[in-house]
Amino acid sequence: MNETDIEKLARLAYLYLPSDEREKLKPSLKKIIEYFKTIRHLREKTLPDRLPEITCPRRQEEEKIHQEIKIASQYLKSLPNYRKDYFQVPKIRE
Amino acid sequence: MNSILEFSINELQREVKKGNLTYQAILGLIVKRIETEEKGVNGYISLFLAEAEEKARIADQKRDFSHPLFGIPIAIKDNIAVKDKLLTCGSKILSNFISPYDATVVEKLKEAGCIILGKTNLDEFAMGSSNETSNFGPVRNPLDRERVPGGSSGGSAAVVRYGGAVAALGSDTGGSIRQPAAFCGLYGLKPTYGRVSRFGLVAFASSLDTIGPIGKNTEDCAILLQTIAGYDPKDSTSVNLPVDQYHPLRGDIKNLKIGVSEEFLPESLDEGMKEIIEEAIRELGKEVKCIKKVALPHLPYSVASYYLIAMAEASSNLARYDGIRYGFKVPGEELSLLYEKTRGEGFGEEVKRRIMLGTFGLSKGYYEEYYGIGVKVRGLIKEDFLSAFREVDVIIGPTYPTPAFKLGEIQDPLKMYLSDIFTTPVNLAGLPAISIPAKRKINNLPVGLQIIGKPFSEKTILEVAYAYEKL
Repeated sequence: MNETDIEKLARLAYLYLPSDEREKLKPSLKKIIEYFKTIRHLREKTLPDRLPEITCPRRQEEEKIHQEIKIASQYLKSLPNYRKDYFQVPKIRE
Repeated sequence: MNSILEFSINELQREVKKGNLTYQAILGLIVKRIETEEKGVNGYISLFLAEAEEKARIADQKRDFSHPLFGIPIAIKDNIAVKDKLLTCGSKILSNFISPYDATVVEKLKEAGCIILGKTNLDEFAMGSSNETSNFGPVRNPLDRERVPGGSSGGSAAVVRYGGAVAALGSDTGGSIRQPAAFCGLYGLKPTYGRVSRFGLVAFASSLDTIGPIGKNTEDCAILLQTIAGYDPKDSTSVNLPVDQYHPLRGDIKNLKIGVSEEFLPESLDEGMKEIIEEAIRELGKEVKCIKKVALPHLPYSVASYYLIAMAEASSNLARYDGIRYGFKVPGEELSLLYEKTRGEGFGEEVKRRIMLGTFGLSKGYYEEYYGIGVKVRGLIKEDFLSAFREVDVIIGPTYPTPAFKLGEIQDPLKMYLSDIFTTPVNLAGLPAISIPAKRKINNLPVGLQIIGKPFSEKTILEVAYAYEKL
């Protein structure tokens, strides 16, 4: 993780980090990402292909939410710059 | 400390009923402790003493003994909403935010007639294991003020320990109730994910966050849990299952099987700690049907899986603090600068680190390699536990690898994370667990014994905890 990576991440996260703060964070970010790599070796060995079922049992209200989403998507279609299930807004950053 | 402040909730109510105590007298003793201890401990962010005194006065007039929490002063961690009160999360970015509503757990406590005494200090946004990252200053352990009280519910544990509240609510995302309870010689229960409503709890990592009690004994935890547990339509993750009757407790555990896993007692664990935990298991073993070895082979990967998931969820949850909606704002010449400067100044170092790492884990090109694997490992950890629980009723091990450490002693964030090895797997699997003080200490510092149960088996872990407490 170099200076550019940190700047890019800070920009993605909308965090203003002065250079001294970036310098201070750099070693710990590097070290923690290295540590995260320790579980990547499990990938080949034992990890299932699909994601596990962690969620709670489906609740009745969810049906209602799905219906509401259907209605919302009808409204979406009437908006300018409509795409599949969202609409595009003007860019706030180049 | 006045011995009355060591009384359990039931003992306090009994004395009030007999006429030996009043709710105002109990509150008076607590206020005295706050006056003498709070300056050195820094457990509270805000206190509502005038309101509390008024409520205690009314409680003495009503003398309604229908609920054990009636008239009892309770502290609330400052990431749980109390209507019209500050809700800071220990952060500068929320330092002037007033909650417009009560969390469901607070609503339930108020309905029970308990007195909300104040909001307790915490690691910023509940991110920490030492309570050193709060914008309102670190909390010190009342048992030894050079040491941390644990985190992130360190304020809740500290005030209960010094007698500044009868009990408290905390939140537990990766051990934040159990570890401070262990460091302060208290009892702290993390319920099953979905057992207690999280409506009004400021989100840190939504698939892991839970609310639970911290008390001076098992029964106080049972009473608090009974009051706050249950289905809530306002929380889509709350589960509509009947709530067991958690109290009174009997400590009858003769038909239970205790599971012991070498992953919870690894070779790297301090010998003194190991001996204390093994001794506790032996003692409890005499009371139960049998002790059985179980395997949790993926437990060593818990910390990596937990932090990948928690940081990813935190980076998403904390996106809402943008300088527009929550009070604290640093002006910028354009919208994106307003966001960046507000967040840059409003969040502390640890929160920024986690947002950065969470953003990294979710970003294009890294998602599958980091967050994706973290989630899959979580599934394996959950399967390990569920398979172990086909053979045993509870699993027992330490809460934390060490007793309370000194303020400033752990400077390396990764070292701090790695110590969460025994608490984080429980959150990943969504299980209930309680930390209780072991009978022996290390250098006069309390040691936490962790009892983990099957999903929704809070009653069982409370019975085991109670049985050990009474040994």
